[in-house]
Amino acid sequence: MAFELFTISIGVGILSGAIINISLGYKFYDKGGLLGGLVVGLMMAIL
Amino acid sequence: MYVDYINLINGGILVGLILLAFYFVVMNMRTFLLPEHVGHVVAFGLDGEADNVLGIYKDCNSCQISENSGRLAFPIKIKLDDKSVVDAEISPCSLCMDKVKVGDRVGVTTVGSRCIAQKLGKLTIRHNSD
Amino acid sequence: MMLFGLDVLGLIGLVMFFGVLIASLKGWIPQDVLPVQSALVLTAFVLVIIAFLFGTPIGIKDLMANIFLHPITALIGGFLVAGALEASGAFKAAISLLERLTKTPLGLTGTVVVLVNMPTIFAMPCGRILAAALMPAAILFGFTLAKVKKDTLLASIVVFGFIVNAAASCGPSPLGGIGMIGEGMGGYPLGSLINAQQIGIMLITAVVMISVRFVYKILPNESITAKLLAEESGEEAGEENNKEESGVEIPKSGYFSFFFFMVGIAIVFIARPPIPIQTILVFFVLVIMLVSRVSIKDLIGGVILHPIMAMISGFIIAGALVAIGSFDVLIQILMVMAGTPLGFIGVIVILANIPTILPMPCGRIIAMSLMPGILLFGLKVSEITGNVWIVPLVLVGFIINAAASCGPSPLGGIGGIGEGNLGTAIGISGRPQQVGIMIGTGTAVLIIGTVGFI
Repeated sequence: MAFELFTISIGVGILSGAIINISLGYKFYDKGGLLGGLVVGLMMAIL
Repeated sequence: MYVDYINLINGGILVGLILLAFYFVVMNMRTFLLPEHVGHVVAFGLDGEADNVLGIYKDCNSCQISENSGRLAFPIKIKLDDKSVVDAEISPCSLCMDKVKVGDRVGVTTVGSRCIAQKLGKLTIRHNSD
Repeated sequence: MMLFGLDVLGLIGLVMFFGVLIASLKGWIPQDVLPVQSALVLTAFVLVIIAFLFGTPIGIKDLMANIFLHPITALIGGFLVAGALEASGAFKAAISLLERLTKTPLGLTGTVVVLVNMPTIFAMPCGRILAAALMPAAILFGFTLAKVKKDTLLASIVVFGFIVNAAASCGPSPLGGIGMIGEGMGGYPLGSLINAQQIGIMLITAVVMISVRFVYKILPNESITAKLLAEESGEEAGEENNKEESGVEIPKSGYFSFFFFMVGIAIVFIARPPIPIQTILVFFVLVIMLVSRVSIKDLIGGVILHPIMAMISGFIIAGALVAIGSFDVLIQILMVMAGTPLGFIGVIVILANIPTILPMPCGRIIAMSLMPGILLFGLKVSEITGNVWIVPLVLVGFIINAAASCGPSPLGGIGGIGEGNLGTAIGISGRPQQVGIMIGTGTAVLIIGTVGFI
């Protein structure tokens, strides 16, 4: 269960980071947004 | 016996929170039915200048920005019926839901360490400050 | 007495309930005379009188039987924590930390991603707490980005993404959030519905931001933009703000409280100690009070009273509706609808999205009122289909939708905070939020449906 939680949370986090990248006018693979999404996904999973 | 103590603590905390809930319900009703003082909104924000850029939106419930860093409630200046001007706070709920704007009649009540401003409804028992 | 096979008293209750909601939304019931939560409490008492006239009296006990003490006490505990965090400067510390994050590999965009998701990471019992406390950061970063990219639309994108995240954050909050009520009613362990909601909310936020960018294009007011961009050129965001100049220094206790809270919540959810959440919250409050020298008066003043009243009014009308059988009538109507080409899935989709279709200024109003009906329908469908996951599925969809629905509400939703700060027309942010919420609702339901409780 924890594995699924972290996988889905981080995955969706990176996806939302990519979407936010696009909405802010950057390329979807921009490092900042993807890293931010990773951090957010991780924190959502832990907290 | 150890478990009994823990249950006692848990029970005590629950009872305390329930009593607090009653207190908050009563205080909430007090803020709009029987406030301590009554006045009208002069300006939003700590510097209280009604004619600054954001103050042009007198008809809109716009909130001051940088002064509100890290605060739960928005600062607001109220001119009471006795002509004194007080600094109060208004919750983000009241601000938006009651569409509070400059010139509105509000009641001011002390809750804990804050002066809470609340827009007065049609059913308020008017309380003139002296 | 029956009408088309439906109990008349129950039907009257249902019609009055939805009638009051729609009349409030349309402005037929002026909100400055009778706000919607007061109207609902009044409706409950009118229903008591009508039930008496029908010969099936409801007692005070029936009305109060639906007031669950667990979520109310958790909510009070949550607000005390919020008050303690604010008084100790934890929110200011959070803003300062965000500014430092821009110097890490996250950069400005990564920090914005973290910022817009902060309300759900922090998960206070009411989204307005962080909407108010962190709005300066949202404006700061929004306009910094606008200046970097020479596009003022970016300010709106950041602010409205932040706002909808704040709106939805009260759903998964372990501090007396709406989700806890669903978990309690459904008999699920504390925290079962939280993760699915948080993941859904990440998507809600991203979808709102991209729809503001490409579809709705809500630009901030020009004079506000000019003023704030002029301020930005005077101080570079991304470097540390000189707090001493503005007279606002962040006490060390602020940083301590912030980290203590984050670590504490993490430990609670990993270790799951057999201690009621209320005791844990009071413990947090005591520690923060001791370290930051916060007084009890500061805590009490920090409680925002509206959500408590909204919750109680929702409970009271739910009690009346349960007692007169309105939910039984609702289930019958829904079962008839399920017999149409809509099917169970179609009805569940509509049911889960009702809060956003009838958005109240506080999601708790409709969440508390309709939760028993949602649960009953879920149980009915589960019984018919033999699928036990229908109940948590319907619950999580409804809860996340209800939690987020206060964002787009025209009766003074959280969207108003963003609109006011950007100087846009009031109500303009409703549509992008509703779009995002629908997507997020679907996502949360998908997670529960495919993976179960994660």
